Amino acid sequence: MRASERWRRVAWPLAAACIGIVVVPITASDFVLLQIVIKSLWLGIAGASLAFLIGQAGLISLGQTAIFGTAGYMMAILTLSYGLNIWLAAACAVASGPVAGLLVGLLSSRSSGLYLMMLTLAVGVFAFFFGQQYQPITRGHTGFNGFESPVIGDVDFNERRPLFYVTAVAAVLIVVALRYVAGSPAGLAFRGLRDNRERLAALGYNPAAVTVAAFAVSGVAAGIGGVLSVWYNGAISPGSIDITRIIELLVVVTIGGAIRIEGAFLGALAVTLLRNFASDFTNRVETLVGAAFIIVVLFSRHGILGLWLEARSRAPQVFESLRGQLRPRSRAAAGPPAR
Amino acid sequence: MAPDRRTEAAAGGAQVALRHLAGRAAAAAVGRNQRRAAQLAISGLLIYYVTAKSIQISDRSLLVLLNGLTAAALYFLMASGFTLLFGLVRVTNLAHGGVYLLGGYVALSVQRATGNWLAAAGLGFLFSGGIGILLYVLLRRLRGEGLRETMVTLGAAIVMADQALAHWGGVPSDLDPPAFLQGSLPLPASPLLYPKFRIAVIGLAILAGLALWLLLYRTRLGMVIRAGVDDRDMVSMAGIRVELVFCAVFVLAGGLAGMAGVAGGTYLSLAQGEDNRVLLASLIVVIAGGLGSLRGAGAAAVLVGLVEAFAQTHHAILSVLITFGTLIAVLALRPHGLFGRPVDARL
Repeated sequence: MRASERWRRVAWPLAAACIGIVVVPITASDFVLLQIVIKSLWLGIAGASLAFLIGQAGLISLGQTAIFGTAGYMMAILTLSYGLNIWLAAACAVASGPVAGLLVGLLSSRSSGLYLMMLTLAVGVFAFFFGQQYQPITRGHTGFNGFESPVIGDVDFNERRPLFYVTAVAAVLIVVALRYVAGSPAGLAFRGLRDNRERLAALGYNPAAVTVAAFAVSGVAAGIGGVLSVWYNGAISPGSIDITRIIELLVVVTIGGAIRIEGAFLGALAVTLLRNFASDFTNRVETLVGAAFIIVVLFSRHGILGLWLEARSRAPQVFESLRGQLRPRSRAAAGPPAR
Repeated sequence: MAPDRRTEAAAGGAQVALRHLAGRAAAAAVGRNQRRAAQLAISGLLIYYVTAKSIQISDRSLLVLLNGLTAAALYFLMASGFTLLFGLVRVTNLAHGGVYLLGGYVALSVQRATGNWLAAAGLGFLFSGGIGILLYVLLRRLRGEGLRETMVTLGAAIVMADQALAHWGGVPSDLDPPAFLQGSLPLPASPLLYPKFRIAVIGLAILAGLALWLLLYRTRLGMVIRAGVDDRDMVSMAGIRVELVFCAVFVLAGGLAGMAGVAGGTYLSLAQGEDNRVLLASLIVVIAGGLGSLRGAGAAAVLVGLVEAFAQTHHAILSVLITFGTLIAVLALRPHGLFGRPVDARL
C-alpha cells in the first residue's frame, strides 16, 4: 500500500518529465530552447544543489559557486590546457564537485546559521579571486574560451537538441537522486541538522560530519551544473563565479522555493524568463529582478512553490466554505413548506 | 631615530616576542592543546614574516601602516553600523554596500551643484539615514525571521546597485576633498608626505568610534540599545518602545554607511561594483571581529586593513586571497570571531 502510494508519487512527475523531454524540443523555437529552456535547466541544476542544502539541511551556503566553478574550471583546464580526452575530463570534473563540496563543508562544519552563510560567502569570493588572480592555472581575468563540446558520430553536443537532451536527463537524474537521498536515513539526519542541531548531537550524530556530508552530496549537483555550464557557454571565466552569480543562485532558489528540490528549476525558469523578456521593455532589468525578489520574499515563506503548495492545501477549505455558503441556501429552498 | 637603529629595535622586539610565543606554543603542544598550539604557531609565523619583510623596507612599511589604517578607518565606519544593526535588530544588512554607494553618489551630485564638500557630506549622511528608515519599514513585516530579512536586504542591494548605475552611470568618479584638507602633510621622522584627507579619514573614524562609545555607554538611548542586544523582549516589557529604538539604529547605521561613502568617494572613487567590494570588506571585518561587537569591529578593522595594505604592497597578485585567508583562518580557529560570543544567529 505504502509502496504503491510512494510509486504513484514518483511516477507522475517522472512521466511528466519524460513527456517534457520529448515534447519541448519539438514545440519550442530554437531561441526559446537555447536561451530559456537549456539555460534554466543548468542554472536549475546548480540551484538544486543549493536548494538541497537550504531545504534539507538548513545550510545557507553562498559557496556553491566555488564548487560549481571548480568543476567548470576542471573541465576547461583538463581539455584546453592538458588536452585530455573530453569524456575523461568530464568524469574528472564531475568527480571534483563532491571533493570541492567536501572541502567547503570541512571549512564550515563548525559553524551554522548566519556565520555559515558568511563563511561560505568568503569561500565563494575566495574562489572568484583565485580564478582572477592565479593566472598560471586559471588564465586570470579572461578565463577559458573556445571550449568544444564532444561529438559522437552524428551527435554533436554543441548543437541545441543534443545539449538539451543531456541537460534535461541530467536534471531529472539529479532531482531523483537528491530526493532519494532526502528520503533515506541520511536525509533524516540532514533534516535533524536543519531543525535542531543540539538534539541531533544528543541522538549520537556528529553535526559537523553531517554538515560535511550534506555539502559533499550537494557538490555532486553543483559539479554537474558547472560542467554543463561550460558545455553550454563554451567558456568559463571568473565572471561566471563572481558575487553577482553567488547572489543569482540564491535568488533563483529563494524565488523558486527551497522546500522542494524542484523549486530551484522553477526559480531558474522564472529568473531566466524575466531577464529575457523584461529587457524588451526596460533597461533596468536588475531593478525588476531585485523588486520581484523582495516581493516574493515578503509575501511567501517558500517562494513561488510555497504559494502553490499553500493554495493547494487551502483548496479543500475554500471548497468547503463555498459549499458551506451554498448549503443554507439550498436548505432554505427546500425548507419548510409554505403554509 | 636612524633607520638602522629602528631596524635593530624592531628585530630585537620581534625576537623576544617570537621566543615567548615559541615557548607558549611548545607548552601548549606538550599539554595536548593542539588548537592553541596551532594558533600560537600561526601568529608566530605571521609576526616573523611581517617583521622580516618590513625591516628590509622601513619607510615603505610606514606607508603600508598608514594605508592600512586609512582602509581600517573606512571599514570601521561601515562595520560599526552593520554590527550595531545585527546586534540589536538581528538583521544582516546586505544592502549596507548599496547605502555606502548611494550616500557617496548623492554627495557627489550635491558637490557638483554647490561646490561645497561639507554640504555634500551632510546631505549624503542625511540621505543614507533616510534609506535606513526605508529599510526599516520594508523589514518591519518580517521581524524575527533572520533569513527572510537578509533576503530582502539582498533584493534591496540589487535594486540600489542598478539604480546607482542608472542615475550616475558606470564611469568611476570621485568627490574633491574640501580646501582645508587638500594637499599632503610631512610625516614625522621620515622624508615622506601623506595626503591630509586620508589622515582626516583616520581621525573621522576615531571620532565616530568615540561618539558611538559615548552614545552606547553614556546615554539613555545607548543603555536601551545595549539592553536590547541582550534581551529585546525584556526591554519592551519594561515599557520602552523598542520599535522606535530599532528605527533609530537603522538611521544610525545608514548614516554611518553614508559617511563612509562620502569619505571613500573622496579618497578612493565611486564606481559600479564598489558597493560589493566595501560590503565584503566590512563583512570580513564584522565576522572576524564577532557579529554584534563594536570592540570587535574596531580590532578586526585594524587587523584586516593592515593585512590588506601589507598584502597589496608585498604580494599584489595574491592580495585578496591573503585577506580572505585571514578571515577563514580567524573563523576556523574562533567560529564566533575575535570578540564575538555565541549569539543566537540561527535563521
